[in-house]
Amino acid sequence: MSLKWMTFVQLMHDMSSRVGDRYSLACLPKGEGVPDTLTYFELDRRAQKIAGYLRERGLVGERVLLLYPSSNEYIVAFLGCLYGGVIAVPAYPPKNNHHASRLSNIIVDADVKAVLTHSSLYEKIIEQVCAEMYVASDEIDGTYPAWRNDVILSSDVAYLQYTSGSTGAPKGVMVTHENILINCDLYSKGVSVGRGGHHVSWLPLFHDMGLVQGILLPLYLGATAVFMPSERFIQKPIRWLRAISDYKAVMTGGPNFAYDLCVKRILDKDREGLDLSGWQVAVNGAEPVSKATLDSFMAAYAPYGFSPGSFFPGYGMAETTLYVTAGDIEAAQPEITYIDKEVLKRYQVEVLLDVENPNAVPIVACGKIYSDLLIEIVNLDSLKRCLSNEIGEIWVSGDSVCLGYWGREKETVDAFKNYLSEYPGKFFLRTGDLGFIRNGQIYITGRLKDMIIIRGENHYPQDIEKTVEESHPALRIGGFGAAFSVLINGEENLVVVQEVERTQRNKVDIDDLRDAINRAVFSVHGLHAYSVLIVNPGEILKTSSGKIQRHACRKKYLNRLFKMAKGMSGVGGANSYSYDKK
Amino acid sequence: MSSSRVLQEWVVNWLVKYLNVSENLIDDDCAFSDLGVDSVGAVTLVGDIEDYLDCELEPTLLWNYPTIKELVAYLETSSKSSKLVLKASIR
Repeated sequence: MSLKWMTFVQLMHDMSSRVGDRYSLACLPKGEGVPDTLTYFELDRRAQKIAGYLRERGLVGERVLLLYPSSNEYIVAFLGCLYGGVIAVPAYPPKNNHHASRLSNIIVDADVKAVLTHSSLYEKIIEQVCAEMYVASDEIDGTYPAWRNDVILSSDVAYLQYTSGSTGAPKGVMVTHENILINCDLYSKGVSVGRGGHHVSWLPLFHDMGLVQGILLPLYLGATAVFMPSERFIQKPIRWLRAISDYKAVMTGGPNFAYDLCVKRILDKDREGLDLSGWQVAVNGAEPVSKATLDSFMAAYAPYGFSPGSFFPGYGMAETTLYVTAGDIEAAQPEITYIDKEVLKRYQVEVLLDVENPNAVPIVACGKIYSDLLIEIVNLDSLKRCLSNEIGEIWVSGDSVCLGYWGREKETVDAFKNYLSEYPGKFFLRTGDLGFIRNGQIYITGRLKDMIIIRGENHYPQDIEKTVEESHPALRIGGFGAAFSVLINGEENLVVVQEVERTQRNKVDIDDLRDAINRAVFSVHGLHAYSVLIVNPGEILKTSSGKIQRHACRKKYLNRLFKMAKGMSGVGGANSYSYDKK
Repeated sequence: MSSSRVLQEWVVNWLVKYLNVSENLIDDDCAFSDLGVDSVGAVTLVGDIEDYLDCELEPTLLWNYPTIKELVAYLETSSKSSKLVLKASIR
């Protein structure tokens, strides 16, 4: 693919000279009120300054961790790294010491050489995070050797995108300048969004969707990225819609739960005066898209000018920079197919035209497939292309598929270097997602990997299992617990099953164990388990080699076959008896 | 009524409404996480306290003060909100 720019730096520099006085960033730290703004010219200058400093400190080609709240300075520092040929590692300031220790996993994995942060957090970060060098980027001043445009190549790694914020076995996706440029190009064409105008985002900047869709795409289009910290949206979801209305935003998006929040947590009186008629692209991605959510959002906001043709259910992941597919510009509304849920269990698709059929489940199409990316559905056993009525793993090939995982040869080969005989010489990415293609649209039906996705955030079960077993000394450690998700009212919910230590099982208060697990799971992962089961030793299902069988545990849970530890059944509390209730 | 009592009652009422749990399940030593508060609930609660007390708080407050008792004690003693708690007790 031929691109106008070689690197994202060249693009930014070009924007500065062409539309320098236009606002590039408008951050709403409070989610409302007067924004902090930076023009394209100012952004270019400040990024150059940081780049000069980082170069003088000998950091070219090294990894630098970004620990900032959602703010313009975050983006200034991110671009400063790119301008300087330094590999940025977007993250976020630790919430507490427990979080801080998790960050160290990323620091080790990426071999981070320096931490960039804001002066207001500097002392705290030094206390919490262990690194070789700390820099408060907002205090960088002075003159550095003139910045040159030619030292960075399009094949250079621009940043590492970690696929989970707090993981014991972190994997950093290597995103090149070429990946960013191509993905932004495909994304903007795929949803047909033009140059200029305003985009709005509340997504975290360390998240692939927050960074690429929320910031890099609008910058790529010479638009203004209006953004707010995610907690400002969570606290008052109306702030998102208000920003869309006030700035006449053309594009914004979030996970499915964000649209639900807008229906459930915004009062009618707060909706008054909203004008959503300029909202052309409403992306719904990062977690399964629910028809019920689309319907209720539509019903609630059509009176305020929202059009069903603006819904763009999307599919993407860090490994493809972000975008794979999103919506269909020619459709009046998202395509929905009803399939037979019993047939689905056999990895087959049977389309039902009678939507009243008790076996019919609606699946929302996650976007039209364009020729720039190759997308194939692959049979799990034969690793060959599926027939059209078969469900298989989604494989993706194209120029915005990333290089692989930083420093992880084996995981990179397994995920990124796969072949199909129909396409000699082409590498395919195994996404781990299951689905089918119909009428040129992609449908997602499930997930191969054990990943738990709650509110658009990925959680690895092994991380949660580790947190759980370490939360109380009476729990059996060394892999005797399972974390998995179950669907409750169409929403993914966490279930934790953990064995108690044999010698402890008659001595401890089950309530204490459950409380300890709840606190730890909240503190580390920000989640509340729908159900916590303390079970007798030997109850967790494992393979002969000792691997936890999460799918089998899930089935055992749903069939209520776990033998619970003494004192477990029928006990009160927020999530103990839900097992019995169902 | 003491300001801590007012605050404590306010927080319990909030939890009853937000989580749809019965008030007699909640006592002072309860951790928010035991009651069913997750990260969304945690930042929502902090936002509503900000509105109630007309003050500014760290959105991640509940990560450092995980029980009702600890949170109320923090709100009461933190110098910037102590005046506001007084205000609350007058209301």
